[in-house]
Amino acid sequence: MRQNEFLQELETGLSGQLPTDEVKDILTDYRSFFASGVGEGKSEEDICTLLGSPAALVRSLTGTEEQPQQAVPTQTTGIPHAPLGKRVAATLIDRLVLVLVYGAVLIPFIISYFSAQSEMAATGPTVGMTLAPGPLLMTVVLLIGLPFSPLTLLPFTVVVSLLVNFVLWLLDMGPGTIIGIVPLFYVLLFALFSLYKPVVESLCHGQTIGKRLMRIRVIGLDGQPAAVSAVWRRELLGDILLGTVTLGITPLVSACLAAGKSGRSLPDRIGDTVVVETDPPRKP
Amino acid sequence: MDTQLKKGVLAMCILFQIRNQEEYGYEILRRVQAAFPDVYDGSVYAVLRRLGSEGYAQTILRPSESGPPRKYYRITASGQQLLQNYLDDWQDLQRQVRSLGIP
Repeated sequence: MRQNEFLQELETGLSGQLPTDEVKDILTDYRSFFASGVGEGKSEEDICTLLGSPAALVRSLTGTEEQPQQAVPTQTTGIPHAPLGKRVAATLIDRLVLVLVYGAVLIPFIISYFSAQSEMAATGPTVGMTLAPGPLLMTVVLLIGLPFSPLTLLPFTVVVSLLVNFVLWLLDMGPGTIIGIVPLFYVLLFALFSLYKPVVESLCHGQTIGKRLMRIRVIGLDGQPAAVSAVWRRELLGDILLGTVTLGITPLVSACLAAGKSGRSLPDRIGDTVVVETDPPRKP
Repeated sequence: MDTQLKKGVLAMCILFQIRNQEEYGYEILRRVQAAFPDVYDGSVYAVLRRLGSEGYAQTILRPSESGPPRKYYRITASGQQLLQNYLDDWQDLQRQVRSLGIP
């Protein structure tokens, strides 16, 4: 940067912020600094480096450099939030990942279930060895249905499955039953779905696999990386628990809020976070 | 560096530069800047200006052969008082920090 550029940028930045004669006085000061620097044999570029950036100087002179700490919410409005489409796409990708993980655990179980059943068919029913088809059916339906079912109903589905299976488990409980394992799978599923986002977002700077692919990120309202506590509050309390308790209503409301002007979903409001694009399109 | 702390330290350093004789603004800037190479946001100049506007330093315009008139800064009585307060605080702070075993 050269002298003229520096002074011009400084003048533009200061005009309207400070009284005119003060702006003039500052510009005169800086003209004399440039003249003195040149007198010392410095290049205009070197002098600019010594004097710092005009933008930072404007902030120092107008006393706005402390703004980020004090006026937190106003600063966030300046950060463009991620479009809803990307957020939904990220959610879908994450669901798919979870289904794959869950499926990898479930498939060996299904195989062992069928082998046990055919074995039983061969030896005939034994006292205390009953196999209910219910839990398995629900497991399979849940597994296949997950990517297609309305996402908002997922927590509800999981909880209902858990309850149904718990009852079935109680009824079937007896020596040698393998159905007792099924509710454990639902617990596993629920834990997986509950913990995946907060754990991964805590470890990977506010990104899940889906968010990473969509180039979006959860950050704090101050524009800094989201705190671990904020991520847990956002995902576990705001997303999973609230969605489960309200039978999937809050995620729907949440999507509407995210589509709104603030771009902040219900979990965002609970966690004091905002979802932004990691490399936002530059303004022309 | 914390902004409040930085401003206090910078004000102390600037006042110290002019405690005995008046000094050209650019010269003050250059020296303080050399001591704090990470302070690049123009806050040295902003603090210098504030010291002038709040009456801790007096400014004198002196013509220059090359370029516009130069602004010199001379410490006032209240500036001397402020500098003394800063230096006392600084000594206290150093002593307190050292008492915790920080060298």
